[in-house]
Amino acid sequence: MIAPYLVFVAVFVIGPLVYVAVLSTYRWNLLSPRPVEVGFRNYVYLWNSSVFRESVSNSLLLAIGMFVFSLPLGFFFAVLLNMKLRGTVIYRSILFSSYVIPLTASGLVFTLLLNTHDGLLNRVLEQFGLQPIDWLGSSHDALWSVLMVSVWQYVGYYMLIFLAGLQNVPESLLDACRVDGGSRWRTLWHVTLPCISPNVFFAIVVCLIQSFQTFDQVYVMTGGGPDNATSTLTYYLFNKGFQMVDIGPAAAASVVLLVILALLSFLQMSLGRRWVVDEF
Amino acid sequence: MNRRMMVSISIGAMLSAVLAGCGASSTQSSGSQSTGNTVSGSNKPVTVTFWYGIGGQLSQQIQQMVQQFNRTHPGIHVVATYQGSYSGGGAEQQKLLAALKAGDPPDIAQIEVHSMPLFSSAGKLADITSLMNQSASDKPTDFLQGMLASTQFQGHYYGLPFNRSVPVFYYNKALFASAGISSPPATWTQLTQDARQLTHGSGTSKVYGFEPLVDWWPWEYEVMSSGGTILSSDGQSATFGQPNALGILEAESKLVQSGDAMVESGPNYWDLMISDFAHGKVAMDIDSIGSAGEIASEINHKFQWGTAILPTYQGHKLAVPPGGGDIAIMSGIPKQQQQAAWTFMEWWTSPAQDATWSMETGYLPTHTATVNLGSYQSFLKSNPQYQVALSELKYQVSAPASPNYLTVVQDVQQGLQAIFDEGKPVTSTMQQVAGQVDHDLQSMGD
Repeated sequence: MIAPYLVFVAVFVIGPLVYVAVLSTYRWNLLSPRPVEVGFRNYVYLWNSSVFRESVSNSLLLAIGMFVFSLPLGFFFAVLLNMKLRGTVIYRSILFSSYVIPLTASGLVFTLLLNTHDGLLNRVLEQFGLQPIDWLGSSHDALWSVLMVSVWQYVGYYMLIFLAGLQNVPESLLDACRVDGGSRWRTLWHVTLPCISPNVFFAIVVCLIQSFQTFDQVYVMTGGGPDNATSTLTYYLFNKGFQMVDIGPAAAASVVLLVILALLSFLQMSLGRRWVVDEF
Repeated sequence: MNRRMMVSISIGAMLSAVLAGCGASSTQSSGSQSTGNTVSGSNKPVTVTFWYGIGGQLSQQIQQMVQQFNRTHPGIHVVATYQGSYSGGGAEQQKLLAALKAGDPPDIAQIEVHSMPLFSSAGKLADITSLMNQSASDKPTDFLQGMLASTQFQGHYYGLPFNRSVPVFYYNKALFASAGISSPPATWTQLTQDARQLTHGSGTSKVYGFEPLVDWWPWEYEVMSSGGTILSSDGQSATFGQPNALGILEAESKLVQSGDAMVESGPNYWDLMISDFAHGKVAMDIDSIGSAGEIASEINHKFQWGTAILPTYQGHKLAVPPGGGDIAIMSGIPKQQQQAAWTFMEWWTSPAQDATWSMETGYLPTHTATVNLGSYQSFLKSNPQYQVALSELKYQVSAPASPNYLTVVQDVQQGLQAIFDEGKPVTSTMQQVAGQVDHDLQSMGD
């Protein structure tokens, strides 16, 4: 029964993985009949490339930003929605809807909203007598703009993950804590959070991996610019491989990405064992 | 992620085609696979597959003309398929790379002029030099001067000009008149002076004298017309960071710093510039002649505007980079197919089709005979902006024929953004980019 799946994985995952690793030791434009074997020189090239280093640090910053902003925000909304207030269904749909919109589409909409000269956001700022911001055109702000759109895009998704957890927290535990005189904050910290720790763990893993795969927003909104200020690891390898047709360093960059993600997952798995409560 | 990425790439390419001024797009014929030639003895037509990368109305124009060809040539059946943007690194080019790698390419394809060396140096394009020399209508001398600049590699021809354009100078005649300027600037000294004179107002109603397009294509003009070169003659090192390559860039950057020019950033910078010009927000800019149609319809007779030859810099010879795409036959396809493909290309570039194509799309005619046609002459009378592009043709200088050129322009694009979006100094930034390019070229070899 598992054979078709294995074949699929072998052909579309394992095969390309090995091929990418092999490609990363060549210098090649995909067309020339004689790829040049360069050993690990592509990795040395990446190490010395300021653009690559910038892309890695941008990816890291995005991951940290997503961790710091979108997870707490998602949790906050989930707690609000779990209060069984009126209209939660509508709010839930609204909050989740941003996640359903393809990133390319929302990226385009934000590109218009964030336009320096005619964008809605700057018009609003002007109404308040503030200086317009060059959201996508300045290397200072462009990465923040990408982060902002990513947070907007994913917050509903994390909210849903947290909400699913919150709705499974046994009422009896919460009541017990309350009866014992625990404050709201204590209840949240000592009962609710441990109960939803598998959800939190899942959200963190997904959040970090997703952040490192940030591509669509960058492709649509900034094209990696200005001056590489928003180039991420995935955008770098796309740009290097398919726009510059320089497949060796691009393949090497994918291997680096793979290693980073594998390390992150490993770290989380081993750390996760210490605080994730699977049974309650 | 991979699927998402591919979806986004194709959506992005589709959207950019739409944004480039087009409506709904394109008939797609599935299974455009080359089925080889006909069985000998049967009278089935030879099928020629043709990949192109311009969407919307332009795509419809191609389909119409292909249908016309198929009607008039019963022995040949051309199947033209839109494959996403043909731009360097666009979807069509990515698919072509993949198809060539997989050994199943189309018979002919549209290729962006700067990507021609990549494909021809790898031996993927058929050498059509002898076909051209024997042709009744496509001899090298039949083409407008400069038109074949991008189709040659090491003395051989690998393609015919297809949808070609050049950058030209656009100016708002109404703003010129109210500033008391009678004619468009012929030099950068004049342009700088005019830009200062044209700039007025403040806040959202400020009118800027000039807007540089933060793009590597006009940058080629800026380097080559300042008296510099882009790469060394062996193509192995960058020369665009040297002082003689930076004159025009420097002049543009100064205008931006003094508030007499504005720039657009973000991924839609090009469309935004067109819109700025069409709304009278800037008085002068440098844009493709291919944008003339879009500009005309956006302005919609609200004010008078015109085009002029690109200004020169301190007496240096004007150098105009070709833009757009060429059409090429893939190497190694069966003889019969190649013959049929060549028949199609000859037909496409013959004056009747050449004229229709350029009058319908705003791309440039390729043949001298086309320009001499009565129909084209009367088109020029009612659309004088194209005359300027035609008179620029003889100044065409192709970018370096390096297979690694796509790397160069991607690096340069980031440098231009540093200069214009972030206000970094021209000289040190371009020197730094040149260093980056050197680093890239050396490790790439060929």
